[in-house]
Amino acid sequence: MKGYEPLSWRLLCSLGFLSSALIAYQIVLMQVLSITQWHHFAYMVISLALLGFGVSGTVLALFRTFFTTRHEVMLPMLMTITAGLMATVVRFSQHEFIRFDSFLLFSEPTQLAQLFITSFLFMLPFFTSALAIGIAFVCHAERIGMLYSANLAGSGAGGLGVIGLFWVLFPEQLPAVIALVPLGASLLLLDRRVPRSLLCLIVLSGGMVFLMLLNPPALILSEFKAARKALEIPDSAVLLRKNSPYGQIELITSPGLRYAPGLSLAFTGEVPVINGVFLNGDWIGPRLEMEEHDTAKLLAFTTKAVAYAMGERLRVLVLDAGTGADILLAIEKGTGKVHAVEENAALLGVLLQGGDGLIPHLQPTVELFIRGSRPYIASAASRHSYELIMLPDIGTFGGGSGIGALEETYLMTVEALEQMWNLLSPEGALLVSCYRDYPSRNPLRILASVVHVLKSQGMDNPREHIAAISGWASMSFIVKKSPISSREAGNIRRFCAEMLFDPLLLPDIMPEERTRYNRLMEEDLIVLFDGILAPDRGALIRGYEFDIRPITDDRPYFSQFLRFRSVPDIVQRYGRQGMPFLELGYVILVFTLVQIAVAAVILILLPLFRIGWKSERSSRVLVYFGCIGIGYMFVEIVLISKFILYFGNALYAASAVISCMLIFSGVGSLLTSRVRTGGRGALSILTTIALMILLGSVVISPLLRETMSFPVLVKGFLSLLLMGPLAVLMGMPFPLGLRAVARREEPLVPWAWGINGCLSVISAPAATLIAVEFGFSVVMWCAAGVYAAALAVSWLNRKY
Amino acid sequence: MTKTRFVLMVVVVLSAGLSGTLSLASDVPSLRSAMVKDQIRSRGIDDPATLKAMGAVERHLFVPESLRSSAYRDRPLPIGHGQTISQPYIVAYMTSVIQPREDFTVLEIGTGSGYQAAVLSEIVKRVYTVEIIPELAESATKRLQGLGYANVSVSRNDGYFGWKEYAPYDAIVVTAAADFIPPPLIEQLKDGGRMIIPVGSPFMVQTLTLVEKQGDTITTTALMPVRFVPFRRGN
Repeated sequence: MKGYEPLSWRLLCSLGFLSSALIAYQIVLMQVLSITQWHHFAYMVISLALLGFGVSGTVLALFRTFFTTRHEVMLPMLMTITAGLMATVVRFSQHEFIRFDSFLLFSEPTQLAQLFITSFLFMLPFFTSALAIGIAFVCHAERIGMLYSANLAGSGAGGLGVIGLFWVLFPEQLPAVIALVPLGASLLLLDRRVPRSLLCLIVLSGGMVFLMLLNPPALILSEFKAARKALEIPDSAVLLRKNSPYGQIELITSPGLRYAPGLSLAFTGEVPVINGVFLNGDWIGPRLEMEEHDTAKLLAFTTKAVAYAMGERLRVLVLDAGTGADILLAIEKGTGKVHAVEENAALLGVLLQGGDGLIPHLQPTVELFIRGSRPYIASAASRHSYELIMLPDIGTFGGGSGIGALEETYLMTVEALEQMWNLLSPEGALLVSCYRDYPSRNPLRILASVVHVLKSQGMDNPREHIAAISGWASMSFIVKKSPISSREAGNIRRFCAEMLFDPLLLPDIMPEERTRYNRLMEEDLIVLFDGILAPDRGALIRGYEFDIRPITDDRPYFSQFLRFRSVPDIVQRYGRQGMPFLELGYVILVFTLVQIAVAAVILILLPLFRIGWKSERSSRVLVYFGCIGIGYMFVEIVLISKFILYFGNALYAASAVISCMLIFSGVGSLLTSRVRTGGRGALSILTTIALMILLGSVVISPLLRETMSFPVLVKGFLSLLLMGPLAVLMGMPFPLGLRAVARREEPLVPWAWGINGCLSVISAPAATLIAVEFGFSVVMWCAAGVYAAALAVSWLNRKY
Repeated sequence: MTKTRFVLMVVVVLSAGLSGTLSLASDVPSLRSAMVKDQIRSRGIDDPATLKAMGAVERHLFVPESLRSSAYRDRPLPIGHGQTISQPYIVAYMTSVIQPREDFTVLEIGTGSGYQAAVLSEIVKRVYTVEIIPELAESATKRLQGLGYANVSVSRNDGYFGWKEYAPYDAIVVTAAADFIPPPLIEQLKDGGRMIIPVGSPFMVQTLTLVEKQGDTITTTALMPVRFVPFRRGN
């Protein structure tokens, strides 16, 4: 077998370029699917597409000789094909015969076939590129450290680079731009004598990339997405469109767009037409201007206004301020000083550019902080105190059907509420609002959370501190630091009577006043409320059919309510068809995991027909590469989550963590050339990784919490210190293992590559599932456990 | 050759079946009566006028041609423009909740395909229906006229404003969910009138909410959550 001897810089560079394009393309596809469909379906489709890595390993294991003997042609050829596929599959996926609609999956069986075809299409570029990487690894297994290093460093650079591209290009333009990278990578590998077939392929692929650059595909949104619906109305138009790492933001004007969520039925004025802001096709709020007094007035007719009806508020903090409705309400109610916190700089840019009028965020009485709400709370603790803290709304109108089950809600964790509590003045209060849902989940978890916090703050009788009111569609909870006085309770009652709302919780609530205007579907919501406020609430919370326990930073999934043990009861009560509609996000996660697991088992077993079933080494290779694949992803997913909380910016934190980990791991991989396989060094690396992960599961959270208020640069430095050494070490086991396998049983090398790919893909939904059920600490323990298992296998194989 | 022909036949039959273009079984009336019996009456709706109307209106003529074979199935169906025709049970439930009488004038917000208006028109004196999407308003008008529903008027307008010209109404049926109830609709509802409105997405859990007006007092009742079948909390 002829290789690039010595390992060519061209091969290393082209591998790095290909890897960078691959990760960038994955992130772009995620955005494309989030725009045309919904985030949770995007997650499922991408997970299936990433199985292309596993497929590449299987194909390589089955046809190893074919690929390795032709590797000098196959590598540029596969990279060229990857470029063509990257540029075109998004266009194909938008064709009416292929395009699926998530909403119709449950009513039209053909949509399942379209979903399958879409996933298959998206898998193709991952397959061809992973095959190219796999061939390079197999052909140069002895120099795997450098190759793997190029692969990891390239991936890291791609993750960071695409973030920059999101600011300057639209999602439909990005696939073709990214496709230029593998095309360039393939050209880098060409020798003087290029086979005619490869030349034709390059011309064809280049032509397709060029065509797509000139004529990017139009992204067609599901007809059930809010932006598409708004644009269906005559005289509607997109006024402004901006892409950003936060997503694609559109400002849409439509004569049918009005904003008055949960408006009191006592309101008799006009609900004005407004321009709406949409993120990835989903409604996120209106563009409000200070001149629009009508909108400000009608906000006073929502349940949220109860916070101001109780008494005067001089200093108000609005968290996750978004398009500024809560700021407008605070200004309308004459608040002296409003502090507003919003991390999405792109959204603020669109609001600023979207019209001439002054947006609420820029009023003289408003101070705007462009940063994450949790870091703000941490940093403000010693400097500010507020009479009212307004949290963003929980849930969606009409109930979310579990769509947000996998979203981390760090503002509603026990730790966050305790931090907010310390920001309140002695007469201050928290305001949390949610939409009414059925079966009741959101209001119950909100109440359970605030009661938990009140008890932890030494309040013996939480009932004295909590008021809740309900309209026909929404509820608001007020949690006051000092007991609610009879004067304040009277003010709330008067407000409710004027607005046709009902008080659900007050220190001296009477049964007959709780459903005077808005009769609930299930009166037992009130019984449950009273139960949560009773001293023996624990039994009620544990026994309820849905999980309504307060959430923590370790398990921050506020909208995940499903309990596995309740599934039979829920199916019996609501019918089998009802399940996905109650807890859709979670069901999709489980469905994704099962699909990938089944596919992975097939992909892993298939090559054994060729390699042989009885080899003891096969099982050791399976355990070793499976374990390090799982371990790496588990740690990465936990760190992403921790750093999202730490920096308060989901997208940048995720990109930074992924990229830094990959680059540091690339350094680790490079260093493996100095480590002997199977020796003491290899064993101590795995031991150190397992111990560091265990240590990390204990110290990372408190450390990040204590330093959350530090300046960003200091936090960045601390993050590198925390992440770097572990990531360097975690980059070593794969090249060390592959080198060892190459020495003793070369035919197993592509199989090992496939196993690592399959298990890495499974790990993402598996880690989320474990985190949802048991918390991130348990994910870390599992990661330490699998590295320990890899250590055991290495110990058994220590002789080579 | 025979093999090729067989494969072609299979492909044609499969694709026809998958796209739902197979012609509807000839026994449409029996499908309709089965729908009334199995999907509506069996779930507790016993208002004779509603049952009669549901049995009379030819639902398959209100769905896209490609979905006609599914017209009498127990589910909502897409009609384009992000809109749906509600499942038969929901149409029947919303109709029965307003307690329609022969002398009623009813306003419907969100004409869609015109099916709910047709059902109402079988019972009440007059139906006014408003649709904001021009294509839907136009096709519903043609369809309703073609089928002889002379007591239904369709307006291409924003449902927010209701239809002031013919107000007040004995009942208002809102078929499209909004996160607020437009004040003009409350104003156009007669004293003692009833309005039914769904809260939530048609493909997910919806809560049907009844709004009742008695003088200046307006009360709401969350009636029941529905998806394809009613969810009821058991004992």
